Amino acid sequence: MMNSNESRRYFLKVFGASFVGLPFLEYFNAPAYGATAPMRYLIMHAGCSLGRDTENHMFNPAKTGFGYDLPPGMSVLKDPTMGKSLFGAGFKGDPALISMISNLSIPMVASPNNQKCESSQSFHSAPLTCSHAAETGLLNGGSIKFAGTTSDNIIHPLISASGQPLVNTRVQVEGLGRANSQGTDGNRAFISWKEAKPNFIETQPSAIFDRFFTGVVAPGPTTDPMQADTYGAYMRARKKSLLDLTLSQSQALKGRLGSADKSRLELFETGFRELEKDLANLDTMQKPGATMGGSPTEVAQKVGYDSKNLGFNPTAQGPGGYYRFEKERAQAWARLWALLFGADKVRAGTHQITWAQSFLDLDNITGQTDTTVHDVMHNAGGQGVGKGGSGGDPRPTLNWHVASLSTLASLLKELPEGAGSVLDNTAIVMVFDGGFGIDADIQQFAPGASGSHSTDNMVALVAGGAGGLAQGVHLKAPNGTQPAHVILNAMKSVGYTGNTFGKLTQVDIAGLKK
Amino acid sequence: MQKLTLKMGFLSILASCSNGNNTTLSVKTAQLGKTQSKESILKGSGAGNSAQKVVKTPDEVINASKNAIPGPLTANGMRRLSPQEYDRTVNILFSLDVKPGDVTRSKVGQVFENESAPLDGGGGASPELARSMAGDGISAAEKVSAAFLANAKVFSNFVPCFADTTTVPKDCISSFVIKAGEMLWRRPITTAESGQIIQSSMSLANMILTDKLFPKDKKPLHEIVSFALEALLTSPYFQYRVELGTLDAASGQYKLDAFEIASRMSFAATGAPPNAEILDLAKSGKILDPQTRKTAFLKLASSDTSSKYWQAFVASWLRYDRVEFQEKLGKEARVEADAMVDNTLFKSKLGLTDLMSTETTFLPAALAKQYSMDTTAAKKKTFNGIEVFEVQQEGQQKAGILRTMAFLQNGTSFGETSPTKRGVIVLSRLFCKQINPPENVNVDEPIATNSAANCKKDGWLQIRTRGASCATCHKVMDEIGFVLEQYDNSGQFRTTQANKSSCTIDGKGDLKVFPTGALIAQIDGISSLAQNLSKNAEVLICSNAMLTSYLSAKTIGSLDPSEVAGVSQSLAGAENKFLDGLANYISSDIFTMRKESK
Repeated sequence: MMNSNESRRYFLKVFGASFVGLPFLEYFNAPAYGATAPMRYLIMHAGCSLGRDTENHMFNPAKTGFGYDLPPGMSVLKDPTMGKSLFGAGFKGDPALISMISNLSIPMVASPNNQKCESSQSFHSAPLTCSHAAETGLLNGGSIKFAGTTSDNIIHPLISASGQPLVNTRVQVEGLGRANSQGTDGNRAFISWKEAKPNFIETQPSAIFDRFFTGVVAPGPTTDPMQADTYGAYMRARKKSLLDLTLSQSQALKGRLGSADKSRLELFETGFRELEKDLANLDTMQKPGATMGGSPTEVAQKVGYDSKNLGFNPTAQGPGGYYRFEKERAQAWARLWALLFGADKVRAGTHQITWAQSFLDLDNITGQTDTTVHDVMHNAGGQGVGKGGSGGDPRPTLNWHVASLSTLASLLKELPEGAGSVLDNTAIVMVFDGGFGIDADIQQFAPGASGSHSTDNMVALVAGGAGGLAQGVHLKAPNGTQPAHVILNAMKSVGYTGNTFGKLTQVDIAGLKK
Repeated sequence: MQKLTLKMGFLSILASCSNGNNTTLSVKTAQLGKTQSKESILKGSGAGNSAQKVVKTPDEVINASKNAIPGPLTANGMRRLSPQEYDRTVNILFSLDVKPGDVTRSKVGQVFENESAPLDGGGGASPELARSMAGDGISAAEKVSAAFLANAKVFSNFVPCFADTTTVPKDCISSFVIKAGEMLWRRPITTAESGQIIQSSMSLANMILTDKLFPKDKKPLHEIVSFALEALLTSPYFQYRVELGTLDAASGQYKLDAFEIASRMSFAATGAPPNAEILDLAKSGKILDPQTRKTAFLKLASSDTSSKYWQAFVASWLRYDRVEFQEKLGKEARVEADAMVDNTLFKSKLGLTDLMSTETTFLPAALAKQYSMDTTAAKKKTFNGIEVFEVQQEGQQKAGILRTMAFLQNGTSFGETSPTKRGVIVLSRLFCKQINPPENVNVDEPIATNSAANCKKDGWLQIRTRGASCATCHKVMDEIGFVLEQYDNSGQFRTTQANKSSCTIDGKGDLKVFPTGALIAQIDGISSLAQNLSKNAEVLICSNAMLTSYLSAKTIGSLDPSEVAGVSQSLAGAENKFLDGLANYISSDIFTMRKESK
């Protein structure tokens, strides 16, 4: 049976690619939208607070407005050498693209105003849930529970075309289950929740790449569109054969199984049927027109697509059998998100760099040994679950998180769309685990112990110009503004017409919108 | 050396027989063990069936197993390969140094590496997760095929044919699929099954040859072999261990066929699929003979692969598999522990609880220095390519695996030893106690005490004053930790607190029953603790349960008491010697059976 790709291939053979010309290729993938560019929305999370227990926070620029002085936690934006060292050769930084909203906080105790999200539960629970869902969370037996729905789930149906999924991704894999008591399914490893249930979160860049680009993006740079197209058809046919064989064997096996095994195998089949759907969708999903970011292959090449190892597949485990290579994976995700947004495969999602109270080892990232993300934010000597070292300098860790945001923003800036870039139609907000100041649990400043366990002096970083968001500006928010208010502003910038988010109502942050 | 033997000869059977008046009938039977008839196993027993109540805690399983009739593994007919099993399969069958299991996403199990993966119904499964895991399965297969193609020797061994860029010989593909299929699917591949794969392969070959897709960087034959290999690896017959058996109507249990027995035995011995020799035993039906099976198992168990597999078991059991060792000496610490396991279980052929009392350890030079142990008169050996000194531990050092840096790294918290966490390890791993973290307390933050001026122990003692809910557990957990306090997390002996010499560490504490607090023994030093643990009947049965958990790839809480009894009985028949006991188990009839998991 000839599928649509094969028919396209044979059509090209008959009439000749050189005669038809490249633009005609897009005839088969005509955009569903007209001149209006799509909006993109991404929430990022950094599982660290902003200062050590005994030192002022690392996100405290003296100046406000455009061209603000970059604080220690963001100095990577003006230091490519640091960026390459921390993030890798693919690092990109441009201070003019990253806005910072400071003076944010989450009230720690119950307030008469029940619209406020209150951090009345233990630290690591309320900052997380108050930020992402504007709902107070619960810490129950070490497990964080979200009570509400996160913004990505609200925005996704508003801005996505039919069939475009919500995608939730994460860099950190290593850590839970080894370094703390939560087990690998700890709720803190999820920042996308719908009706109090966590959405699946993908940790393998290769899985997302395969889902959206198998046989669409050529295996390497090619100047021969005919060859690329033929190869793509072959790759899709190959994958289809693989899926067909697996499902056929599964069907044969199912007849011999009892009910428990049968349901287990049906779940196995579900996965392969989902892949089948993805494969079918490759032909029908919308692809950008000439005025958008470019064809998937063009976008892939622009964002640093690597033909040899896909560039998105650093999945190997490190010593001890745990997933490592976070530096490589962070970079792969930044490129992949740029590809997803630029090729218009996905318009809404979340990207968690590290999770709350992250015990991610830093040796692979910053080169600091015997310490973790969590530990460098605490400054007491000898901190570290399973570690013998001291806390260490927190600045490389903070800058590493910022590097993901800045690289993604810069890549999107390089992708033309209409008269501007994909970044102009994007809203990205990065929120953090905590701030610096009064301890959220004991409600007093406790120097040397838990200054980083605070919901005071928090910040959010914003990138993108969707709906007129200002780029490269430092703004001090009105007192009482919470990180979730920044998210609400970002939601509105991509078309959300509501005035509330969870327990919060809109607070205009002067200057955030041009 | 004193041996512990669980009294398995006389078993109490509790058969719940509801007669409308909630009457419970207790039946005592005698002398099962060796004289237990095949028929009685096939028919099952009152106990085996009555034990199908929902068991929630390891304690309940352990207690129920003491009186249960030995039964077969209660298992589903198919179980997904763990990443480690996947890796071993490829490493052993293809001699490829590649870790495809990395991408199969099966998380580290709660207890052991081979615990059921999420798609085994471990909860939380969703279409998104299913899709992702399906994709992972393909990615893992691609990783293997890339390594397979890159290794010319391996490739030519499996694909001994010539093909230029214009041909893909069908016979060549066909023989490859049949040969590799049998090894990967752990049984001969049927004509229909191989036919499908060959047909798909040749269709793709036709596309390649027609379009000249791989003129420069890859021969068409290589690409098609690559596809065929991926098809074999992506198949449920590879990704799952399919051990269904045939239903025996009388007992309600399933009798495994020869290939399924071969698979189960090989995985039990080495964590890997059957080799060609074992497959031949299955083909000839000889594997159905208990003595043949025993001999074959012991041969498999004499390999390094087997020792390493069980070294991994002990590491998981005693939790040092997931310890983030200090940057220095981490490798050496693991060498010591692994060598001790190898020597105790495989060379000396002793039992699991003997690991607590063994006097022999093997120290790389740097670790001996760390321990301040004199190695002048020690014999030098090589273990896993590393030179080690064979040292006999003496006096207070005589504490087997408990005294190793690997074990002592357990329970490190914020750079220091945590008496609580160390106590939890002993109670949960050696006594199989389920200890849940307290609600609304983030145990991963530093312990809050107001005893800055006092000794560390005072801070821990304070916890007991915070109400009964804290005291109940801490007065049992911490006491064990106080004994282990004499060793820091790098294995160095100490009698005073670091940076506070006025705080002495005496290594004394009480070994108590959790959670009642009933005294088992007053302990003075790690050696005393180790000796008590190695002789404790509860530790023995817990170790049997751990072993059963590893064999059945389930958490202890989901074990059927009868399967624990089955393993315990076999070990008891060999005076709890590990290898001989396991050989007993594998040659028993119950090993060839499966009870459907509820």
